[in-house]
Amino acid sequence: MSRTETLQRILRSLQTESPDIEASALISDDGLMIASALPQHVEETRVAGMSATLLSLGNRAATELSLKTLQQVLIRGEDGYAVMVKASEGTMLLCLTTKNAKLGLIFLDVGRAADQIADVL
Amino acid sequence: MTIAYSMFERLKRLVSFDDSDVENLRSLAPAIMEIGPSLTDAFYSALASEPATAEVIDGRLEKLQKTHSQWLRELIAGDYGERYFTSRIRIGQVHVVHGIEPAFVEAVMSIIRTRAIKLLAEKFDGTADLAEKAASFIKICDLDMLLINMAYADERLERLSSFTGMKRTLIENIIRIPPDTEPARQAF
Ligand code: HEM
Repeated sequence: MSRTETLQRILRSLQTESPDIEASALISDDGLMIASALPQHVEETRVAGMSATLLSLGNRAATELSLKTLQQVLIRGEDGYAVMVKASEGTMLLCLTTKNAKLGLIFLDVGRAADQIADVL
Repeated sequence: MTIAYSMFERLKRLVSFDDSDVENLRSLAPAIMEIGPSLTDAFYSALASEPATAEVIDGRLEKLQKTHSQWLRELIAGDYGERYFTSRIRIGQVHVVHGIEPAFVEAVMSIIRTRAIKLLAEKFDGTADLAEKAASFIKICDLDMLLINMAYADERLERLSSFTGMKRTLIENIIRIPPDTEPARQAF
């Protein structure tokens, strides 16, 4: 199995195991999509650029506010959450969830998937 | 700074700035130094007439006049290698730090170019190779402006990158994404 296929598989099984995770993507820190399981209407280029920007800003803000190392960036909208975490050096994992998602569980599953991605990369 | 000296070499080739231009500029040096004070005067009266630049030069005039004469001397000194490149790139960076709009620097450069040509034409009345020499003078002013503009763009991106933590490649990639056609919602 190629590396891309393995990454794609990690994203797909994250979504199967956590039904509240509706979409996920692996993105490089220069804003490029590496692997994704996103709905069709989502514009991948924009989502990748935005997510990388948010995580970069989150990193800076955590340092500026003396919060030490950034662990995640969380966005809450009316319709759900976006969770962003570092996956490996230079990559990040983005997950979109339903509005009723149990965040504790989501964080655990997302963290596990990020570890698996780091092993592959 | 991410601008390499090789870029300056490429720009010189592109505007065909060659040994004959260097020769022309060296030969113009005495005449340019003679008209220098008049160029500097035009430079500073223009800066004083625009509120945004007048505010910046307030209380700094003497220092700036020295800086400008030095710039003019180097412009025609005939040495356009790596040292020249580095000092010209620095000019762009310094102006960013002072919050000066690049358009004002362009406007002032236009004054220098046009006034120098007018004064040289008066001085060399009827001399056959004036057009050639004037062209070399315009080329080096344009090259300086190119470097200043590049340094401006580079310095602005660098500051944005360092403040936000966004990698330069991320910023470059975002700039390439076509704008969203949907109107943005109020942020807060
Ligand atoms: C053709 C256009 C221009 C040229 C060639 C030029 C040249 C220079 C040079 C060589 C320096 C010194 C850089 C250094 O420290 O290494 C400088 C500094 C400066 N220039 Fe300009 N300049 C131009 C336009 C302007 C304009 C439009 C303004 C607007 C007010 C301006 C305001 C300043 C200021 C405030 C400094 C910093 C002086 C300091 O260190 O206190 N310049 N300029």
